[in-house]
Amino acid sequence: MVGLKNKLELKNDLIKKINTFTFLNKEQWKYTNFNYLANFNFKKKNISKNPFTIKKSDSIEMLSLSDLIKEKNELYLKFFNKIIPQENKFILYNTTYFHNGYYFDIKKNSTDAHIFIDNKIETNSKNNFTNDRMIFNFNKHSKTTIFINEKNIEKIKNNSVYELYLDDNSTVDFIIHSNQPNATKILNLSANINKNATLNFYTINISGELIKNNYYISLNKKNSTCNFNGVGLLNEKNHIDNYVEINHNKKHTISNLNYNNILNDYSKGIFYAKTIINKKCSQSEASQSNKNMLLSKSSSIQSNPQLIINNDDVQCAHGSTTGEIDSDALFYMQSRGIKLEQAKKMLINSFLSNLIDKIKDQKALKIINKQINSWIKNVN
Amino acid sequence: MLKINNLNVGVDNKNILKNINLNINKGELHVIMGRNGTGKSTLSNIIAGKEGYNINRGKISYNNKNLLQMSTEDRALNGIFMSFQYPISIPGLNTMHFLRTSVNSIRKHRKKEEYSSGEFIKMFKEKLQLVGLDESFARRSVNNGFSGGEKKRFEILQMLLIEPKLVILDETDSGLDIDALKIVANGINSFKSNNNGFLLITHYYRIIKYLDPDFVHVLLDGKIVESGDQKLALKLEEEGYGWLEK
Repeated sequence: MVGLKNKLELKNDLIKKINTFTFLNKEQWKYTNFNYLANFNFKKKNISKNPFTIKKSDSIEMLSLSDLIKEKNELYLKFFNKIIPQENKFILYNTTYFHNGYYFDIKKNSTDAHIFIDNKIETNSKNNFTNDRMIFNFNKHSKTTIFINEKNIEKIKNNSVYELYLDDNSTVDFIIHSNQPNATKILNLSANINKNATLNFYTINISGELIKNNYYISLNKKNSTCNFNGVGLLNEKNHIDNYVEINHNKKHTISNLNYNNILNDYSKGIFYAKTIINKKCSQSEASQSNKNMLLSKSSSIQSNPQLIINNDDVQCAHGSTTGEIDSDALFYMQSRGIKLEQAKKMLINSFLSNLIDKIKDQKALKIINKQINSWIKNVN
Repeated sequence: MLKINNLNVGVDNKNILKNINLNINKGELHVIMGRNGTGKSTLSNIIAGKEGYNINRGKISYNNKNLLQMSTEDRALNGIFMSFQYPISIPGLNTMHFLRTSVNSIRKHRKKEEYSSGEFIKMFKEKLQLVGLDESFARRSVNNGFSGGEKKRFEILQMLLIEPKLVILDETDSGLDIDALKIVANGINSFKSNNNGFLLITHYYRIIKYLDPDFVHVLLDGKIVESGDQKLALKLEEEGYGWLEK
């Protein structure tokens, strides 16, 4: 992306900001030590091949970000780096040095639009991060399914930023499936949701050496809705740190956050969610649920679902549970002739199914179920 | 079929069952009655294989095998079925998937061909009618959101599908209205034969009158203090347990 730096008109203070940034100040960074990543290189373009294989329906226009800058600069100025908060070092790195990226424009009134993205970084030199960037612009009355499939056993390092714009009356099923046991991966994702628009979001993380996901959802107009569903399956020494921030910025906005984790071996998970209902956002509804199943004595989870409510006329609920596999349910199943090992696997599956079964796209569902079953198969 | 000899069971240094002796043969229906907290459910749980109890003395043989050395699932595979007093709800586990896995595990153990999906659905629908449940149950999660009566009928449905050899009914009649009670009793009677045995635990005569038991036992303070026939149950209904303590 030669010359991009000039086009971006990056200022020296952005670089300065990166150099002076520390992770220690904010709660969402306190459970994982990222400071060691300071020695890694985010600047080099260190992949030889475009990692994305993209299939899309005709109603979607796709441009590489370099083409967007050249050919549709007005859209670039409108959408690039506009909603992602400039509050962490990885976002700043990505903005400054991104190598791969696309802008997707989903046409007004398009129905059954879809994008399937296979993201597979094949080579990734040691200590160097790749920086991916995606912008999705869902125009009015569009209905879209996005499925991002990241399956990789390589020891990769990846730093992604996604920006999602949902215009009035659009409906989006956005599914990210990541199964990268050896990956160090940072994702920062922002979504702006407008009037009567609904984002059904699914994030399925199956293993990962170090995964940090930050999600920033803004419900900006009446009847903006976000149904956020997350699943984490961790084993060995996996470490997954999720931060979900949902801002209710208008009256009559709705958010439902459900995140279930299963942890085995020595894995560690962090679930930190903050749903903020701002002062004038009456008659809004917000729920948060985090359920965690620990399959080993050495696995652990930090769960912190927070509701910050600045209006009295709202409906809110939140809860968190962490426990071992239900021994009464196991006994019940065994008493029906189901062997202990199979009963355990069925219970693990049932712990996830209320979230996974919501995925309507059958292709995505099939791939995800296959990966989940393969993970469960290895549970002792 | 089931022989309990001199069984003594405790939990946390507290003796719950004391010198229990009980034989259940094929074709017999035994009833155990007793006040709350006398050890009735402990006895059911011990037979079904629940962990957490200390067997201090005694033995249980089932078809001449040492039952206490068999795992819970082995007991089920070999024909023991317990209808739970409080059936466990398992959100997210589809009822049909659960039932088919259970039934096919047992059929496989009996060296019978496993049911295909189509065959199972057909049989499931037939048995559903017997217990008065509708087909929507197939799509629900196991016991999740079921009413008390539905849970008990679902237990009887499982019994009918599994076709066990020894059935333990732990307060299956509790919480049932009169119509549901009749449905449950009919379900039990339709399955009862000379090839299977039953142990019913109950507080009430109202189910006993539908089932025509062979033996009624009274369990008080962990001991069987009286055994008789159906008349004993009627006497308990009328007079309570006080006369047995004199």
